[in-house]
Amino acid sequence: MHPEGKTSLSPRIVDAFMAIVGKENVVYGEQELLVYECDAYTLEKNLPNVVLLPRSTDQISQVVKICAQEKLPIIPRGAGTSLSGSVLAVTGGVMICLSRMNRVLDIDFRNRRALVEAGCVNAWVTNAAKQKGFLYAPDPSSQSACTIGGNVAMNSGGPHTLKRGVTTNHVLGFEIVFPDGEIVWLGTRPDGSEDVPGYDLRGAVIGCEGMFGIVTRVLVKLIKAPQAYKTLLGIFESVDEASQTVSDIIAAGIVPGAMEMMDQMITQAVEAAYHFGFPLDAGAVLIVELDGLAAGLDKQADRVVEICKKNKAREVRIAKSEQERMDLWKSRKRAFGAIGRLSPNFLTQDGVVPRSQLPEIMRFIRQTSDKYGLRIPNVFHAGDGNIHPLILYDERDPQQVKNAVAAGNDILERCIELGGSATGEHGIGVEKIDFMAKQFSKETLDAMKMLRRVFDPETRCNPHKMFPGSKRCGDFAGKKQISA
Amino acid sequence: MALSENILCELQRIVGRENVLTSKEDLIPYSFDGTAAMIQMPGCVLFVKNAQEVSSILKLANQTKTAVVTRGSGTGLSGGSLPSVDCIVMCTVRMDKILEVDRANLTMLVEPGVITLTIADEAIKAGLFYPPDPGSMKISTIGGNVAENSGGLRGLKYGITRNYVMGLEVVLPDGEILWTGNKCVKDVAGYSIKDLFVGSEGTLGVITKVLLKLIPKPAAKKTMVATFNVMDAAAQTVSDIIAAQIIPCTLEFLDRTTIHCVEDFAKVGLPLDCEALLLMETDGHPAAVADEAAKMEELARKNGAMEVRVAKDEAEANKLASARRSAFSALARVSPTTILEDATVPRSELARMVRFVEVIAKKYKLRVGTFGHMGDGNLHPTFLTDERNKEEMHRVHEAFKEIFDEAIRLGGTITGEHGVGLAKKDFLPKFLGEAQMRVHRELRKALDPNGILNPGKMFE
Repeated sequence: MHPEGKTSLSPRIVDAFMAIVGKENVVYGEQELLVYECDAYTLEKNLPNVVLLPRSTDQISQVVKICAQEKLPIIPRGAGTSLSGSVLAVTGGVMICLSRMNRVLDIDFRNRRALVEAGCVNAWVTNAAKQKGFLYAPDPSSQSACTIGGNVAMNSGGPHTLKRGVTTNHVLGFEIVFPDGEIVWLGTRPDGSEDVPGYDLRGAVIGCEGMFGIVTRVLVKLIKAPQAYKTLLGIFESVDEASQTVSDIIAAGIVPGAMEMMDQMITQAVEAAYHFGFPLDAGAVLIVELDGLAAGLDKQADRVVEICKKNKAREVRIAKSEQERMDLWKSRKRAFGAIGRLSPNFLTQDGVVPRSQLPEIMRFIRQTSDKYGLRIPNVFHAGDGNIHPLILYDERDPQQVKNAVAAGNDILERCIELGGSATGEHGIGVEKIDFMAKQFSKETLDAMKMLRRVFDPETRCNPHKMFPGSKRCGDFAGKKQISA
Repeated sequence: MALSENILCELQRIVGRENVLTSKEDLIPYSFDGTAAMIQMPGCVLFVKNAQEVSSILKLANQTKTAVVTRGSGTGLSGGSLPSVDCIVMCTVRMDKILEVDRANLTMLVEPGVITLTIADEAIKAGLFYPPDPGSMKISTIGGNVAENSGGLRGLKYGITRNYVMGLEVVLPDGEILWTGNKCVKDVAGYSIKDLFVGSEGTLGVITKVLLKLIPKPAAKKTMVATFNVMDAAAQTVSDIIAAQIIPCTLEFLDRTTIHCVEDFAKVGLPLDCEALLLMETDGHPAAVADEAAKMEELARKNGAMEVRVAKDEAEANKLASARRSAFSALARVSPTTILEDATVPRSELARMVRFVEVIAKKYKLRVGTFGHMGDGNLHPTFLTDERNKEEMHRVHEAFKEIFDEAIRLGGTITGEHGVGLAKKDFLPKFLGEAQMRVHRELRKALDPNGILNPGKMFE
């Protein structure tokens, strides 16, 4: 299980860490460390040597300086909700967990920004701003647990990406501890103006999957909460017609807050589980949510209904109350949970294609389903072209396990061929290392490696991630049957 | 040391004899950009046609350690495309094709030499919208906009060039050609290296293709002009509009000197008896636009506006917007040299900053016109001077030093949208600090070990 090059840590160094962060903020010992053996990607596991729970940037800097002296790997961690193994301690090392640095430090409503510690939970930011009518836009599904620091590392998205963009569009600047222990502020400063001269190091760090240093404080943008919502449910005969509707809505100049699609198999499972009243014979359902100023929203909704009808929607329902709206969203957000009714195991993927290729990738998924004899229902962010095919299999049948993995790979490769990417929001981590060489040319990969060495010449910060040829945790391939 | 015959021959072979300029008369127009008082003669000018040519040139430049300066239309205002002495100027203006407009994915793929206005017009033809609108958009190239991360009048609501770059083809200093980005609205595979090239001022690579994001065209727009007899009232109006949670697409400011110069030049009927003028524009859904416009008018009046004029139609709206766009040209007519600068302060410090500029102008006995993007806190104090008058130029430089120090003291920056180039080079370390400067230097050295691309710009 332990790969070569396993890190060892002398008690002397642990004592030094304890002196810096306090004994009560050090997790040491195999039993206690088990919690930190993986993130939400559970196929590969390994223990860090020690987990530190610092309380300040200064403590982190001191700890990181010791790690630099002792050449120890550093693994930054937030809430551990990542789906790609990006906080896995592949060869052990010192895990620095930001969960005790979780305060909202300051909200500046006048300049529409909030300063938070990196361990602050995503949803807490909006909670702190909402009484004044503001919100923090990126809303990954794990927002009630995941941290802002983790969001910065992974450049997280969410259902509202289409209209509002992803994390990088909402993070103005941050404080980071470089792998040599130096503390630097990148991007807009808390009391500074938005424009910053020089190279966009802020942009380069966002989405680096924790490989350029440890982000400790983050200055985020707040936006005005929409005055009103209008949520529609279109019921279609086929996925193709629903996909065409998505394109037509955009082409009509309407950018909804969210557009989410569920195909027939998912709709049936959701209906069986929660009884929302979806017709069981519909080919696809499409949730379209418009938001913004109340003035004009009705007209936009009328236009969306018209477009749905033009694409042979059997029926378009408009949520008449906040309760109905919440119910609709519940059906979407609980879709994954309903899968349990269909199959003992499932494997989900996170590919993305240019929006116009949605019908093509959906056709390909159907073909893949036939080819491997596995059912693949779909629920996804249609407006973004971000698909989440759920490959159903039974882990008791080894052939099905193999087929499920092969089907997932085929789908992601097709996404890349169609001008898309192997990951829209979950990241590469350890899970998708093999896709990097398929998606990027050697020149681009070299440029990325070069960039990494600028920030971390010893490649000690979150090592063995992202790049082809990285170390893996033992022989993991045979264990892929454990569902994601 | 001039370029050797061997190098010139090789360059002519790469791009074709007809695409190389070498005679002194031909080189003079390329010896400066839009930045005042900076002239340096290049060794030659090349008009490149594709990434392969760029790659061959950069490989040759590396072998021979020859400096290469990339240039679009040369409208830069910080000396970013000023040639190094005897360098190769690599001019991209003949790479001016729009390669694709993709209405389904709301993207446009263009070569770097396409004029910004052409992109905006093509987008409109497709029923779409490309928002970044730098003051020089009638002549600036998109490659230059990306290299400088240009802003524009609509920055407040729609953001700047960076927000519209989805992908880039870049030739690295060693001649490798790489592509970064795609048409997907989200993609987290690998590092975001695209972000490094946007705003890198021609120091990290040569941009040879740009994939731009377009957005749906707003259905309605309302443009208005408000005049004030005190500067603070204009600044307060801006603050009040933002506090009322309205984000207009344009909130531009002109001071008295600029208003007079513009009116003299463009004759749009601007009132001449005011201290400050605000150009305000809101766009979006018709009902929302009507709401917001009414609110903005009310706020301007509440702050004692002398007059609020709402454009009756598209023609009048365009006239008012182009009055603002012509501010720089209008000021430039007045004196032999105009030095336009670029300072950004937090919105709450705007009035203080404008007053400070006036005090400094008096102190150094200089004429200054100030205009800018009020909503972003981005000001362009423009000194009207004469570069032949060495003594006056000295006073201009002293004045700018004070203005920048004040901007930084107020939490601002030295450059909002014109880049660092040569003009602001001394200020960059002050702003970034040593640790960030080290990362900047290492990054540049890693990509360009021989230092051939735009040497001496941004930082040493």
